[in-house]
Amino acid sequence: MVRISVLQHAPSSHLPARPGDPTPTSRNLDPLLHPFARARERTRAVNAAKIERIFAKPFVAALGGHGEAVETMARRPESLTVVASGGWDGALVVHDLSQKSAVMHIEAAHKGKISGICFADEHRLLSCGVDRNIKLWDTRQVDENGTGPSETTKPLSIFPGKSAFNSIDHHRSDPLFATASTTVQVWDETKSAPISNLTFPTSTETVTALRFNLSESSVLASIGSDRTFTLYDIRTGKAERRVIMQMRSNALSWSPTFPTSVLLASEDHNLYTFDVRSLNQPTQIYKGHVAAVTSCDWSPTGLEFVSGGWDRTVRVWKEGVGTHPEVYHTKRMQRVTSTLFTADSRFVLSGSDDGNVRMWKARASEKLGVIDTRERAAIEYRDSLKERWKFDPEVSRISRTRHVPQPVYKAAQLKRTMLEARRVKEERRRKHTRAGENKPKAERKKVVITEQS
Amino acid sequence: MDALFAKADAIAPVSKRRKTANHDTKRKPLPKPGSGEDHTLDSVASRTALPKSLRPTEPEPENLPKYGHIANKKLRTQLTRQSAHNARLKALVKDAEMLLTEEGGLMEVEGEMEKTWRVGQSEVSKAAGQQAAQGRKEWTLDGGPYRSRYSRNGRHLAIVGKQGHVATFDWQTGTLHSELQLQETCRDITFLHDQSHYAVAQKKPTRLEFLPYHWLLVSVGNPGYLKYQDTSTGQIVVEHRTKLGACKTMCQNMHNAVIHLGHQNGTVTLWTPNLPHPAVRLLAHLGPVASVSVDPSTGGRYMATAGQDGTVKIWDCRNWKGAVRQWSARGGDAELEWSQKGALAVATGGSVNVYTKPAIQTPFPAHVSPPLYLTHPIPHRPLTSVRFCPFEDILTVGHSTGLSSILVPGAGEANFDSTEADPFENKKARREREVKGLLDKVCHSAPPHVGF
Repeated sequence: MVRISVLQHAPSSHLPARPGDPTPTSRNLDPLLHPFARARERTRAVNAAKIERIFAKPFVAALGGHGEAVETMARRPESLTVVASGGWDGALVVHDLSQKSAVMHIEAAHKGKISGICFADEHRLLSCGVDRNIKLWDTRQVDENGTGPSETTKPLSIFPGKSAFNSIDHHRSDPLFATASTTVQVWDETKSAPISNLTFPTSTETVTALRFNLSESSVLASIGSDRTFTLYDIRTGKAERRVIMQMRSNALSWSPTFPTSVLLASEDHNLYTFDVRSLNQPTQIYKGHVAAVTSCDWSPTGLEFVSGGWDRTVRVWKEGVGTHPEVYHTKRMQRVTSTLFTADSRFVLSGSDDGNVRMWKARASEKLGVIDTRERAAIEYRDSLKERWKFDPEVSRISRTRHVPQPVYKAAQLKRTMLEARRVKEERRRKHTRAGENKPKAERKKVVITEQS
Repeated sequence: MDALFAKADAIAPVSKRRKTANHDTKRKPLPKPGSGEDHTLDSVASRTALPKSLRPTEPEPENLPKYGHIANKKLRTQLTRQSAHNARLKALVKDAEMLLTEEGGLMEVEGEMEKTWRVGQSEVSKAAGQQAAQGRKEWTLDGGPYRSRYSRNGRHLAIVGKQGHVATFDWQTGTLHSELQLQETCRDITFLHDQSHYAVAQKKPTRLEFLPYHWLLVSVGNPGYLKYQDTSTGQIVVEHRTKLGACKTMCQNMHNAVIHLGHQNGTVTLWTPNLPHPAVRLLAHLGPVASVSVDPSTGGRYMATAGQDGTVKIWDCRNWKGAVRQWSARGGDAELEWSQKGALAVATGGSVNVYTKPAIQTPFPAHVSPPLYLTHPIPHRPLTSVRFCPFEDILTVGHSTGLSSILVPGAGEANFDSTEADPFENKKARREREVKGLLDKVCHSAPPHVGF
């Protein structure tokens, strides 16, 4: 007896049961049925990288209202859309990001530049300026019921100081705020004079910026013009530690997720994250800017941060990744003096010398608006392909390359040449003198000169 | 300040020393939650856990590589996680084999004295189901010996007669897509990326092949030039001079897009677009080579060649030192074709013989033919082409008075993959596959995929 069976496909299991039904699909994962699977996947990964670059259009909007450079910005707590900015001409503007318009605009809030602003609570805003005044404003609109302030252009109260202020920050829970001038002063909202002065015993510096820690709200950090980074505790009223670095820092920001991590934007073109538990060296150096970094801000997720520099670029960094940041620039954006992440970590704001506040996407190729399920699935698939093939030379080249303006490109080239020459010289010096007897100093160890406590 | 440090220590203690492999072994293991050693961990552990959807449903796979030598903790974690993920994927692929529902055809004998080759086509079609029996067909056509080609999903058939009759049709429903009388000698036909496009070898070319993942139409002719033409752009991307005269046989290896050519002086050469000379040059026969075919069931590991003197040789593509097996077929030059499941059809003289897998690939010193699986006489000489239908147990033989399809149980792959080739695809799926195929076009200048 011969047993015979001949292959036949049952049409009922491969054709839609009713017209309009989806056609049934069948899978067979046998590699013999999928020739060139890896080669095709690589092509898809290259295409995914190209698509990402094609759709990288980060610029969202420019918000006007300032006649001169935008010196400082602050976001309102518990709000995704409201951001305040202060400029060199003394104008104070509260922006609504979703409407792309100004909610409040005070022409001359201070005489001269506004050097710092922060929200005291949901509606009240503190600003300080070089006119040696701190002003408290109510940002609420006047409505028909008259619940708002009678006149928005008048401050609720004024705190006079002795010298020009450089920065201000409000305590997280208590009605206290701290200002930076020649010293660090802590103020009570109800008292017109500072309640305490904080200073490091041997300090003669000008304090340029200060921030309260986000986790332990009595801890205060400041940076000064004599290249220092200082930690204070406002309960003891004393400076706890101080670090002197090679170059001065221009801005600082505490990490929102890791309590002891602080980010410093330095004059030497780099950004540094420090763990304040061990201040002798930074945890990471972020290299990318080709001029001094003037501002920085953490994303609320603590995984990214943004920095703006004297080189007219805004850069978005990943925490722990010290190179290849996302670079944003436009033809008309001048030196970036302030940057801010929005509270939903989807957008980045930059204020620059040309008097505009610009809004950018935090992820350059992200699509704004409604994304349906299929598109979401395609995006996720492309992301995982890029992740999987990131070591492929072509994929990495496409996703790494950024076109920057010619001055930035030339400056980077020059900087690279100079650093290379310096490295070669140091190498030769070590080779031919007694300097070569001990190990070269690590880059991280060079940052901090001394640590004092 | 101490409170701040305590908070940070609870998340991640500050590392004093660099983590190295030997340092790692000395380290005290972290206290288990609930053991009472670490109060912070205890307080957090009750409220913190991976969400259920993110937790692995199966236990960690065994025999995972340990990355103890890697000092970077983050990289080590990533590598460990990746290798666990890969191991899980492999297990899942193995599981997915259970979902292959269709059963392939077969022909088996019970007693030793019975032979499968004694079973004729009438018996096979009687035993086959109603649908499958439709595969047994005879097309009587004028216009010389015919050649045929199936589309990649096996649903469509293109035929060409020597005197210029060209037709493409869905052989299951009998829908005719196109029919032409070209009034010219036509030697070969091939479908391009789908059934809506096909290429006919008129005038100069003698043989055509289409590389579906590269979108390259390969042609060779009497002057001996091998030409690669990109069908998505229309450009001839590369042209190789074989320097071996007229060439009348060509086949491709689906798995690495290597073109096998058989020449008049008995050599077989293997070509890729990025090499100006053959990758392999092999003296296969003492006379002209009549036919070449590559085994798709082993990923292109075996190649069969037939000479005009009637010898059929099986070669191992990993080791070109001598044929694995050879025998002489009666009736002069043979046409060869391997099926998806590894059945070899040899059409010589007045009959088609089919041989099956383990016997034809095992080395055998004597020059005798392997055990025959199936044979079918066709009284219309010459037999000019043999083609297996993908995903069906059908063999189509082209001869001087048309074409005959016979049933070869066990020749076709039973379970197709809809993302690659689906016999039941509709218009929308065909369009989508065309666009996806263009987007995934593999660059021809990339180095060929090596390995069988």
